[in-house]
Amino acid sequence: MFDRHQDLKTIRRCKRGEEEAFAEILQRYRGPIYSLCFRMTRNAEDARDLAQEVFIKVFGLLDRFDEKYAFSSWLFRIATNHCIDHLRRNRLRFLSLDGVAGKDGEEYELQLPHKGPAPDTVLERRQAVQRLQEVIAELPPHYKAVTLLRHDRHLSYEEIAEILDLPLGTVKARIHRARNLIQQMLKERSYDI
Amino acid sequence: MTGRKAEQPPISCAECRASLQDYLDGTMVKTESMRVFLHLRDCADCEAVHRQWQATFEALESMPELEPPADFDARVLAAVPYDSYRAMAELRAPRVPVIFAEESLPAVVRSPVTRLAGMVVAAGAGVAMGWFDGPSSLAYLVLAGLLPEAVVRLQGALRGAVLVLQRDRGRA
Ligand SMILES: [Zn+2]
Repeated sequence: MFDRHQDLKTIRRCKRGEEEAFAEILQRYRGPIYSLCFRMTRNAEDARDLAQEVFIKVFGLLDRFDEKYAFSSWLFRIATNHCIDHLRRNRLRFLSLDGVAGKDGEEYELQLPHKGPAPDTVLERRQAVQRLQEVIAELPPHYKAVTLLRHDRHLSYEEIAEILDLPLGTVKARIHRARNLIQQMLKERSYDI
Repeated sequence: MTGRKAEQPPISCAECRASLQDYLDGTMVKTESMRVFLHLRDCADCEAVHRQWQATFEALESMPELEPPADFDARVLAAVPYDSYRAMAELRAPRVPVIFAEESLPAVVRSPVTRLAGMVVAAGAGVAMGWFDGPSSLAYLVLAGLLPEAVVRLQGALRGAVLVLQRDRGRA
């Protein structure tokens, strides 16, 4: 999704001190990073501050960037960790996993849908996204992170494992768990998804 | 197609439901996803659960990208310490032992003029030796002429090798 080769060229220009090169990086990643920060925190002001801090931090760490990784992976890793740290520091309330999720391997008895028409109008679709974002916001930080990297950033399990420096199996288990939680919460709030 | 279906034992409802996320992720091997597909075709209950999952996946995939506030870039760029970054560039540059640094050779040796002139002298002496049967002492002149170019190239190659070694060590 991101052009690894082009990023590398831009990063090398950054390292030589070209101000325009960093502006290009900013241009390329401001949306993705801000979106990630917003969906992690659910607060525009926090998201803006966190995203800014991420870029400033990345600039300071440029010399430590290892070119054998994709720049985008490295950037998302820094951003994800930064958001998780922020959430922990602020001790925001999260769902207790035990409270909602039930045991592993549970079977879902979902009530079924006389499935209504797909949300057609712009307003309905916006509301659906809104609800989903609310639900995602309540996930514990690590679950939130994997969900966003997978669905908001459209990254593969392998890429997420690289970004978060976790075993593939852990990433997969967390994503499954997160989606179970999301589905269950949407259902409990009787949102018609 | 029916023959193929017969090869695969059907899966239970529990197995089907446990596979739904992988199924929608598209990460299952083909034969396995085919078994899920066939089960969903025949089992209305699982198909209903499948549709619900599908709706969740679709919702997850449809989150739009958000734009930061208008002054975002300006704020970041204002906060990024370019001047000090440039000032520190020298310190950050990879360092090699002095003997491999270009500056450790006298400027007169490094000068392209010297190197070119040296090669011209060497070529001239070589020609004089070969074609005109000049004295063999001209061989010293050939060597002397080639010396500046050879020294510069050798040092460059060693410097390159040291940098590669350092980079590998830095990564380890
Ligand atoms: Zn079934």
